[in-house]
Amino acid sequence: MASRFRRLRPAAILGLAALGAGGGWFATAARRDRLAAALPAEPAAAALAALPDSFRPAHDALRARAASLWAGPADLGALAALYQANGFLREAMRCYAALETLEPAEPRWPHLHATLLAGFGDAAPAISRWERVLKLAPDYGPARLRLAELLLKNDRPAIAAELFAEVLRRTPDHPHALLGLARLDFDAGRWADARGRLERVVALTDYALGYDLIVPVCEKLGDHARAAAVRGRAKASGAHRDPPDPWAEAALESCHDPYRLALLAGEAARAGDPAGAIRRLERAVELAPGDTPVRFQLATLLAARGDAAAAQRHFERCTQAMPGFADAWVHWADLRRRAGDPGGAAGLVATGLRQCPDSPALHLLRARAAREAGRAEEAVAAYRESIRLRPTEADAYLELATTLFRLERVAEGVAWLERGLAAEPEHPPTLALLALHAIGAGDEPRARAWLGRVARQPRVPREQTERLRSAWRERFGTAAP
Amino acid sequence: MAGAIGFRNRPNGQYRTTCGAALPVRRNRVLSPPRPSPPRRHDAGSRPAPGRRRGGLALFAAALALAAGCTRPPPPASAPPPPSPPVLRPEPIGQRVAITPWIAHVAAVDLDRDGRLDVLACEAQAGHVLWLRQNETGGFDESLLAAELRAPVHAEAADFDGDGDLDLVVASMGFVFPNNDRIGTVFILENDGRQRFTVRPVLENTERVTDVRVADFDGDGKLDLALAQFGYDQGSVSWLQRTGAWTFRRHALLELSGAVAVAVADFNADGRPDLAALVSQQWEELHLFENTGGAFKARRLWGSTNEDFGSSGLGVGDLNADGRPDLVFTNGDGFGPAATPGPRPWHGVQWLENRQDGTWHYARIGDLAGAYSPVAVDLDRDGVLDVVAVAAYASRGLPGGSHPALVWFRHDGRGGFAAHPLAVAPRDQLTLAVGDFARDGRPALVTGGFFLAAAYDGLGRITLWRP
Repeated sequence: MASRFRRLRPAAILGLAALGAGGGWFATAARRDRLAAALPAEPAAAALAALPDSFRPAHDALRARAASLWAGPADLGALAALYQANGFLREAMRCYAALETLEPAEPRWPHLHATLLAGFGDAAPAISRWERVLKLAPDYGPARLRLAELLLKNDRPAIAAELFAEVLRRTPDHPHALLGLARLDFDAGRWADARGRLERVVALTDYALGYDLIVPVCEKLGDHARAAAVRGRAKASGAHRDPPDPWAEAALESCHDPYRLALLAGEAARAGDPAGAIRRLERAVELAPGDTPVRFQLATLLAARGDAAAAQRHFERCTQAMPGFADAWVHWADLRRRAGDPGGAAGLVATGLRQCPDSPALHLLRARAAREAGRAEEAVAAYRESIRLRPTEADAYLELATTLFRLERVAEGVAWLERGLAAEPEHPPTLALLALHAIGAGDEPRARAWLGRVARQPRVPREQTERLRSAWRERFGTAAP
Repeated sequence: MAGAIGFRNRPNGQYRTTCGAALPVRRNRVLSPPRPSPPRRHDAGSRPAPGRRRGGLALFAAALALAAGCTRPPPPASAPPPPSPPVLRPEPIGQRVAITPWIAHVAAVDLDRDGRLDVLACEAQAGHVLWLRQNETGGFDESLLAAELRAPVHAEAADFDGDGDLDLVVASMGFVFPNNDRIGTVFILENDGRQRFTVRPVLENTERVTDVRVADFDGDGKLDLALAQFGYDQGSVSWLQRTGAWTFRRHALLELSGAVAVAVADFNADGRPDLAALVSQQWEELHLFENTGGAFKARRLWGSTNEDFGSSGLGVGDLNADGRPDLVFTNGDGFGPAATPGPRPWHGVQWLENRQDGTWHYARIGDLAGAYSPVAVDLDRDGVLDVVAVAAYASRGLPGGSHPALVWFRHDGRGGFAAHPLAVAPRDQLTLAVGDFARDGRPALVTGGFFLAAAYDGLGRITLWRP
């Protein structure tokens, strides 16, 4: 018996091993089949061709890996991220949908899927996924916040409030959660509660959040001075930014699309990460050296960061690639001027104007240079040309007017100021100058009218208003209206 | 019909469009423009000489692949082949391009009531409201109805004074680029019966107005107004109650920035006109205000957490043919933190189905980068309302490019839509209207071009697309 067992043992072992290998093979093949079935169709050839050359090999390699025998969900996840980062969102969503089945305990897949669904405006499936994420990863704050926001937008304020409150319990003073609760107060007309939260939000974020709601709330509460003070902070703030979401941000790292990189860079710059913005833009330029708008964006950011040499190099490349792209000439020349090289700047303006004779901004630069050099008549002509080409912005009108004042062509200057105000209503410096002129001319009714408009414009600095009031007292001998 | 200028928030004065069938720049997200000289956008002056138009502008796409996404799978093999897109012949109408076109709105109206449909247009850069009168031969003669209206972006015709002619109500932003000042105005242009107009501002020093619509909301027999006020950081949705011949009392319904467009219809089938509003900026929401007889009950119908969704236009049509008006809306506002506006993968067209039980159901119609101004129209005359939309800024201002500028979303009558690009040029079309200009029962389209970013080719001002 024992000898018989000994004889059979190798065969048994071999059999078991074969069975195991077979089972493993079948399991692996089944997993591979599931993954292969989950692979979305390749994006259209035209869409693929629109991306830089680097995308195709990366895409093909990830697809091959995801379809290979040894592929795992991580491979499909990498492919999904590539699709998401490069704008193939439907393909990415198909991958995430499969991954939700393949790895039901992994919270990133429903979170990323929900983010894309909500990004298209499809709320219902996004809500159910974020609810699942909260069960799988209750500590991942961005998912709770997004769910709260989406429930708010779907008129489920009570649950949204609970979720915002939970975010605050876990992260006290979380500005987006405070803002969410303030929005709920706002919707319900609880003005005092909203004010309290919004004051906290603007203090925490230096008005990057909450600047929008706090004005009408203060007005509802009768605090018009506070409302005007907030309105006076910016011509147009638009500072709102999304809360950070590390999972979603990580999914965008494999971006090959220069324009999407430019968008991400813009968001990074806005979020106070200029280094991150430059990194993305440099990658975009590396991927698509001929994409002039992206290079231009990099150049402007470098200039803003004080790296004038690098900025000039990129502006120059922009003008070489697209000589008719006037903005590049304008920024390059301005950089030279600010670097103390007016001659170089003038040369660039002249060259730029040969390429772009209808550029209002280049004519404006020419006007400024002429004015600074004391060639007032030449400046007047250039200002007028700039205004003819772009009649919608007040700055050129204002500068033309002050140039005319210097030439003692006051009435003409005032007329240009009034035209500038028609082009850009309530332009603060123009209002103030017209008020000052009316006071100086002793025209009390007009001065009163202009001062009234100055008073209604919250962007006129308080000191300037005081100077005007003081000028009124001196001229008319009475307190300013 | 729909769409709205209002450049959304984007950093550092980057512009964004919204026009109530038109344009405001959205939330700022950008790089600091060098001061003092540099412009914050592509220099309009860098464009080629105006007046150049491509020969054979529209590249009809009958045989093109349906590039834009469809909401439903293709019909089964046994289904009949889909019809070819209708052939529309583009024809520039009105004056030649003299300045870079900023046509924020077009409308099809028989202004002089001579039985022939005309075109109204708002030129936001010039501050003009224009009348393109259709003459006896089917041509169009352009005339200026009003000037110095400070960035007009929407015009609507109605007889405000009951004298039998059509007056006009105009929404003016004051300034198209990002600006939070209260510089918006609503004008009524009173018609003397001979299409000469007296300009009457009826609301001034208010948040920038992007859309205005006319209805008798309080049932007193006098026409009231509904407004979308984009503002910038502060804005609103409001209505103006008529109090006198040319006077109104303003009632704010929703004080949020970024209102792009309003739509008026009896959404809840109670016999009273209700109001819907599309709000862009960081909100990206659609609100319904149900008229309870001069007061309104507010509901939020839809919202996205994608602050870059780019809501851009709103229209009304009974797409499911159940007798209740549905809402169709676009998201295509591509102004943002990059140096140039451009496409987003989520840009497109969608609708909210207004169901009999009072609920609203979201469904995607199709993808369209830079989508604006959706209009529900039975373009192929199969008895089912389709959707047509225009597109702008998808090519990022770069020369060449093949992004559709005009797309027909054919409706199969069961909620499925198939996208048929109709043209790629002229590009940067921001506003669209439909009308039976030839009086033969076939709908024609009118589009307007708004060229904010550099336009090296594909320039077009006002284009009539004849069937």
